[in-house]
Amino acid sequence: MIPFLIRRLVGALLALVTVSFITFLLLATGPGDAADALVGEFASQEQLDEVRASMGLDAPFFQRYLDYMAGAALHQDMGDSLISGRPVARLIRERLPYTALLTLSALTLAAMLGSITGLIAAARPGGWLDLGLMSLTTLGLSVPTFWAALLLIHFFSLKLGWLPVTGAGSPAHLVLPTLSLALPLTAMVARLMRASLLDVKEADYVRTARAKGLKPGKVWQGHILRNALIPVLTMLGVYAGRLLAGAVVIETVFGWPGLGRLTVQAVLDNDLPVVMGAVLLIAFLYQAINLGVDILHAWADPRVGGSAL
Amino acid sequence: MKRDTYVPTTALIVVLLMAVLAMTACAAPAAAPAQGEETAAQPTGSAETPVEGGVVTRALTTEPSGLDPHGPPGSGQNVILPYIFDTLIYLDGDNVLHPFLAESWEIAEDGKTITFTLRPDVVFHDGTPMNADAVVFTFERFMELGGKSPVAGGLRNITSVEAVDENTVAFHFEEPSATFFSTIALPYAGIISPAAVEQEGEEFARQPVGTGPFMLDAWEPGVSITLKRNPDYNWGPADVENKGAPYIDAAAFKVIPDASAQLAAFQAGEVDIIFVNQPAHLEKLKQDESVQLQEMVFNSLVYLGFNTSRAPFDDVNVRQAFAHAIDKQAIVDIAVGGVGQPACQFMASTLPGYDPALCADAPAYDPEQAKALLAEAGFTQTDQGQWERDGEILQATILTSTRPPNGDVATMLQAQLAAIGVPIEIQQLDSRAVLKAATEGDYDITLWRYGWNDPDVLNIYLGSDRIGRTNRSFYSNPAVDEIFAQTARELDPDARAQLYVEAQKLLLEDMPWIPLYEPVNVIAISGRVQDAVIGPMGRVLLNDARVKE
Repeated sequence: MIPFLIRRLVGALLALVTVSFITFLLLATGPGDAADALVGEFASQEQLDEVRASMGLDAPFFQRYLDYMAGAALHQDMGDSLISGRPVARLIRERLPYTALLTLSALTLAAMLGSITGLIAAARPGGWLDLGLMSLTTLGLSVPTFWAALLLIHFFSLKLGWLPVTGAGSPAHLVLPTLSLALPLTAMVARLMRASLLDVKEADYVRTARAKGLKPGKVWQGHILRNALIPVLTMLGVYAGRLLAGAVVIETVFGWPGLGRLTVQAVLDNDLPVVMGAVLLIAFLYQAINLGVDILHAWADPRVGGSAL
Repeated sequence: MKRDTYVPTTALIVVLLMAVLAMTACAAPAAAPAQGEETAAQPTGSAETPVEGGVVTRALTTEPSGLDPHGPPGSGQNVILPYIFDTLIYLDGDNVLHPFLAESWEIAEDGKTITFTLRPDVVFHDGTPMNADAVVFTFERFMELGGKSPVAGGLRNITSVEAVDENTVAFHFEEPSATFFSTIALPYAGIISPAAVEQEGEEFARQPVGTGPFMLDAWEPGVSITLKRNPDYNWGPADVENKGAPYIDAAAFKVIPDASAQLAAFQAGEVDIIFVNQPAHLEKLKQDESVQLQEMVFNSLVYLGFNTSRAPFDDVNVRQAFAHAIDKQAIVDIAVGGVGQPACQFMASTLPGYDPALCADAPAYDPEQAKALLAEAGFTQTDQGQWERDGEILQATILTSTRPPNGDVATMLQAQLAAIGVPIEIQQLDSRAVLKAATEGDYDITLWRYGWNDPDVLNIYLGSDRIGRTNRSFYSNPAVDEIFAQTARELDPDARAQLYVEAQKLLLEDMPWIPLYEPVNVIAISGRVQDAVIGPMGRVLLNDARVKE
């Protein structure tokens, strides 16, 4: 277990360094920089150079990268936004709770709704309910989230007037973004749950359990459900990270003041410290979730063990 | 049989779900923007202004990073600045100057000193008086932080700003500066409270203090910025009838980055004012009779700019040939959805120096004439209908941004130029990449747009001293430069306008750009808001506004 952990931790660290380097490289080599964004279209080259120098953007690429990484790693200093001058850590602190709230509620909703749908569908495989639900999940998987979001706005906000279109602050504001974000994941969980249940239902140990006279209820609770949930949980872990990515689009459509919107605006402004801070945080969360899932998996399923990972 | 077993599971799941939602709801940061909470009328300083209450909400595409007028201009703060800050003078939609914080001004004989007399009764939101010292402080800070401001160029010739007495300020210039007045009317030149800057330091951008009709009330990052009425306000600008405090309690700005979501929020009544830049959205809004659709003036022109340093566009015959090949009316009707006017000259029709008479000399749509000019330039038509000179085929790439309707306009241009035998490729990049490529001269033709509040815009884009900066056409004509130099010193508006007409005559011969059309920008105002006034450069003044509940 310990060597496994060490290996996983080193891997995660390497992934973070790689992400930071690629992000930095892409931002530094793309057209324009924050100085362009600051001085606007009408500035002279001298003004531009002056601003660029004052921001330290004229230093060589590797020096800038190393300076940044040294500041972030050794002094826990994420720097200040080049555009607003506010500390990156503070900007992220303002926005992270919103994104966490949105992704957690979407994850919860998708897990609950998806599992129930999968259960119902697996109860009578091939029946009309199964067919209907599985067609719905195909739809849920293939509809782009921003379009689903606009449809939801059209129906619930404009036609019915039940829910606000944009903004944040009350539980009502959370409903539509959560639904849109959870939609594809719900469909995926439902399909996986159904497939997994059908697999386990035919497994030898289930037949053994039935054969030794266990009540159907006990068989479901103790054997089928528990075993069927393992792949679903693993996938949820992986997809929690992807939800963070989906949140970028959803936050933009619903004007939800989360990390995704902060990142998009920072990319548009070439605000390098903010982009780096946000991307590294998301990469870190992704790694942490995956590591957590792997550890849980290894612990829950002895056959997987440390060596298999 | 399975039913009995998964009912408890379902119940458990539901309970869990509710628990998680309750937990997350508790963790939700901050409360909703305090809309409509300020119903109680505050006791006010100006008793003659009735307080009628209500909130007007406007959608913002980009949240400003700060509201310091001298801060980085990158993102939408100029939408909000005019509500919080007033300027010395007010430049109306017809580009006429009016007194604002300055009651009057006087230009010295040599044009090198301009003296403003300030209104004596103006106070900042923090209660400190707006006086000559505040104006001096504002402009010295503006010039110091100028490297980060888009308009610092307009203040370049200032040698000093002097407080003559309590209410008199003198600006001294190295040489007369014709762009000075349009510069100090910009939102970026709003007068700021020295006391507040001193006290707040860097935080001034988050807690701005000016003399405007509204003052900052609440700023929820990423969600909204709410301004409340300034009860002491008594110095409204020329375009509004109510010179006193606004009738409404608050003006709110809600951050909604997505245009479709803005439209939905408008239709749902969550915002009252949105900017409409998509023909499809305009059509939808036109179906609702209660919606007020107002055209805004940005002094804008969309043009096709040549890289005159690159063959074959260094040849004036080729540029003129292209000008004859383009059917501007068709572009406006089809690509722009009819929301615009074909343009025949370089100056936007709302700026001084525009002269309808110039249109008679402008190249008309005439493909045959275009072909004749190409032949004159030494090109011969091949069997395939293409044009060849010295073994090279005449072709070009149009570089433009991804912003609509540029793609559609470029496609129309492609078709029209193909009709005379010139193959065109289209390259769409994001705005900043286009600007960078164009500034470096790495392009053939660019489809671009300007919007500026002074005729000096032609000098900015076509003066030869701006090559390598904003003159991305690499256009250089000493005769035109000489006229631009005269305009910069000419303080008489009529004489200055006449100089620009002369410059345009030369430009029409050289054709460094093909003026295509003047875009019309529409703002939609909800039926519940009455008497919102459309000001210059897209401003919506809420001094007279009333809310119908």
